[in-house]
Amino acid sequence: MSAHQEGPAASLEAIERIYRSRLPEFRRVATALGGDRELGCDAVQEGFALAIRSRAKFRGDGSLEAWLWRIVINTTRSQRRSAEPAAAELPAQQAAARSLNGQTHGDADRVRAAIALLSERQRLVLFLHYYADLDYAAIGEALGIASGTVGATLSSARAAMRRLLEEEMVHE
Amino acid sequence: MSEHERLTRTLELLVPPFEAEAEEWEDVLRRAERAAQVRRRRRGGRRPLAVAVAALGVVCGLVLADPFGGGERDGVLARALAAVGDGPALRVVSETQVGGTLIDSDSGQRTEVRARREVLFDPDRGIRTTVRLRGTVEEDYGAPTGKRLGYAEDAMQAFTRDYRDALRSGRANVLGEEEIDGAPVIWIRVPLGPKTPKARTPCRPYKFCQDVAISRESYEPLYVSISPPGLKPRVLDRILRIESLPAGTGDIPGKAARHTVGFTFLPSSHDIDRSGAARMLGGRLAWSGRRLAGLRLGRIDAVGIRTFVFTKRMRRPRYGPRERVIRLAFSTRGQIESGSPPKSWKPLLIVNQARRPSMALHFGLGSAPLGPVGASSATPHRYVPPPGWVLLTGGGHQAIVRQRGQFISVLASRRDDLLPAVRALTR
Repeated sequence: MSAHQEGPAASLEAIERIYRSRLPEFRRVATALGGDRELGCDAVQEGFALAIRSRAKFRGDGSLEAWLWRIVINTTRSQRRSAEPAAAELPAQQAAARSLNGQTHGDADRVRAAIALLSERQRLVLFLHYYADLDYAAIGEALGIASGTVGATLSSARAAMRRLLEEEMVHE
Repeated sequence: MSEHERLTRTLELLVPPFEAEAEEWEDVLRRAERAAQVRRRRRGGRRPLAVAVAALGVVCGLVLADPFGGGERDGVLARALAAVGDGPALRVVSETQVGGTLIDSDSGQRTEVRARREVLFDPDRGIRTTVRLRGTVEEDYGAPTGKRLGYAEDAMQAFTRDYRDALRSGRANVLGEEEIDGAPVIWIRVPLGPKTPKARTPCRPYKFCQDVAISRESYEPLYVSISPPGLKPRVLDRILRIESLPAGTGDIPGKAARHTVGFTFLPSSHDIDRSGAARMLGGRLAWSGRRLAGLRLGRIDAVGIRTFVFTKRMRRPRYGPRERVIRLAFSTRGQIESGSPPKSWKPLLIVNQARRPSMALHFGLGSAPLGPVGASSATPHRYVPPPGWVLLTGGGHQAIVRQRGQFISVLASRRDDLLPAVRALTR
């Protein structure tokens, strides 16, 4: 992420550079977070449009990419809440029942159910690490938490995923 | 394979990598410009309005500008408190949005049915909430004092536990007036929990809040918002009866489940032929040919699920019995193979059949219902109408029938296809 360190007030060119170089990762994380490919792609577009409009507010006390991740994550959450007002408040067990990308039943649904049982922070850390290939420091900057907390969260998320998926196999 | 690689592959099942997709930077710029124009227009329009409002304020004074300010607000809260009663325990009976329209297959007679929620609350023992649709228990949850229930029960828990305290202490806010189904109501917002500047709910700065509509005439509660406050469309429970009771009334929290139930798919779900499907259903597959409502049969498969309960305190999920459902999908092969819920104008019919009621009866392709978002919240999960009746639910996208001992659920992306399909299957 350090390649995109900028001074205060992000320039349009710097935002465009990150958009062009990291678009697939932004879309993948937003799709996983939003639960829908179309919603995820739209949230990335809206998030970057918002970043352009608010670029004067970028204080430059962190990296521009971290600031963009924060905006895209918040935009995705907001769009998900608007799309499914009731579902936004569903407990994890019920959220496990929702289809993320419309794949038919099978392994994908089992992974989906396991993911839905993680906490919101665990999910975010997992997505940013595995889908966007961000390191602990970059994730910490994007989410506004210490990198030590990122490591602990990631470790607990991995353990929970392992337990959930293995449980399922044992029981089947 | 390392754990990192294994998890990377596992997560690829959820969202495959995005590759070489068209970049749409121009679209981003257009969106940014469009939003800026809207903001400029709003600002331009607000100035004259702001001047007019300020002038009106000078003329009318602060009392008219804030109809529920000061004494009037206190009066509303005091009357609302008096209307609820002061017994320690409460019993609230409300009508939920779970249900639909029952249709007599012979006469076509239609009857609206809605589930009833009964909430018993006692500050010393906790809460119990039961939802019944025509006698069938849809949900039954209980929690001792100090424990939370989940989802919709949160709203009723807040209403029975915190409403009177908020009215008494003056923490409640009067939001304004509205008319619901012809009845004039006043909306009251009950803030819960400590003030927290980080709270990201519509009730900021509180962590959570609860909206209650009271009658403009009697000040009794008429509706409780079950959906999170501020979010639309609002899901309301209509309050039918509210009683203040002596302590010790009712079985609270009971032996009911304390957690909502999730489900997972069995990995052995598979395509199956017609005779195999019929065997699995005890020889009673509802079948009207390879076309239904003009759509061609694209796939028959057997879907298996298991329900489970898994909470933070449990080391392992607790699984329920295996449930199997036969699913017939009618549409184009491309639509079915995509696995995606279709747009409303694209035709897709799903016929799910089982020997006993199952959560899987309500799935379209994958685990998504076919109706619009939110419509599925009206679908009952356990109630099945008696033989000879059809329950139309899920925003008009789902029909549930019982035939020759089988439980059948038909889901249609287009509402017009639904009843012709049900008639063909039950002929």
